[in-house]
Amino acid sequence: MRVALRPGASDLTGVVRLALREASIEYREDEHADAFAALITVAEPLEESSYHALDDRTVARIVDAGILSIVGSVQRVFPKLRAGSRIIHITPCCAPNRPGSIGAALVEAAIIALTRSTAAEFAEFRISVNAIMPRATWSADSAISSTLIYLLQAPTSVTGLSLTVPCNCNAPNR
Amino acid sequence: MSGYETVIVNRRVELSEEAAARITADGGCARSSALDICDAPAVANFFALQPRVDALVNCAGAFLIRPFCETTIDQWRALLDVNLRGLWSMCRHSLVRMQAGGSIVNVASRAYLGSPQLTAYGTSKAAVIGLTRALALEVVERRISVNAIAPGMIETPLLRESLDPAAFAAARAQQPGGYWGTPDDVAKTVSFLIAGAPFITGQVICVDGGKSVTSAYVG
Repeated sequence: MRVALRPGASDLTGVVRLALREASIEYREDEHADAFAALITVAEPLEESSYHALDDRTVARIVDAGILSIVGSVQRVFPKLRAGSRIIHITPCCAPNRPGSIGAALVEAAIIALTRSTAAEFAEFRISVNAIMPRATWSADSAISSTLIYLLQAPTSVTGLSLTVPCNCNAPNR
Repeated sequence: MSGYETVIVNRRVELSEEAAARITADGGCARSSALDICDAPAVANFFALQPRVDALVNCAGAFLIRPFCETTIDQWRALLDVNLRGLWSMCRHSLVRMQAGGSIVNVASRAYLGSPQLTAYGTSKAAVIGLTRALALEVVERRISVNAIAPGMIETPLLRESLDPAAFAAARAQQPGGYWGTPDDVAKTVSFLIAGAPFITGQVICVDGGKSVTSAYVG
């Protein structure tokens, strides 16, 4: 199995790299190969600001970094995926309970919708699309790893899910 | 809305004039103005002339039916510019002019639940809902409510322009009960959220005739 990994936030990307290495799964971060069995995207860290400071240009940057970069990655790698392939998005679960989380909240909701819509659309190609949403807690990062490895091997009929998992890494939502 | 002075803005001023005229003819008070909500300086200039805002209804929207792999990044950006960035601009300028009791209603779409061919549109509307929930918590201490509605199939000019007759019939056949909603269904829900329910905030109300409960994906 060869996986295309689109790196994002360094801590989350590190957890993914380690999980893939421990499972002896080959991965490439440059998308340069003829075929991949899976695409894993990791969200980039987002700049945070309360609504007073969240100006037009900041929203445009959040849209580019949080949504359009992921869309572009799926569009580039999709032609290299065959029946039975998986797409997995990893993006922090945002608890919108403090000022400054508007950007993270809108990106989280967008990725859940992107996951569900593309899952419905790619089902006929037998390509699954799921999301892992780490939520910062005091538990170990192993939940991300085990969920990732499960989704890489699960039947492609497991699709359209956004799974909230606990994590201990410095996710951008902390 | 009785008791409110309504300012209707639209990129196409003839449409805002028409809507304002209908409100005036019904005995209401309405003005119209030309405004492209994606034009951030124009939005700032518009709000500079509004000393006070009691309620904001964000219903400007762009729509696209297209398979994911055929949707260009420029088309994605165009949708997000109107549906998210323009909407946010309206929210931000309204909030600084709003007092306790103020309310914002963002018109999203049931497509936020996920729908093939509507990935870009549904994703932009989901982003609006994420924004709505987070913003609601930021302004709740000012006693301002922020909610979203998620209309399903509503018979509007935008919908009729977007669907060919075969797609129109097929979509209607998938609707529970076989009938679609009307703009009045949406308007009544918006009125309720503006004036009737100050303790409801950060919520999404589907106005879709039950379609959202029929399946995981709502085609």
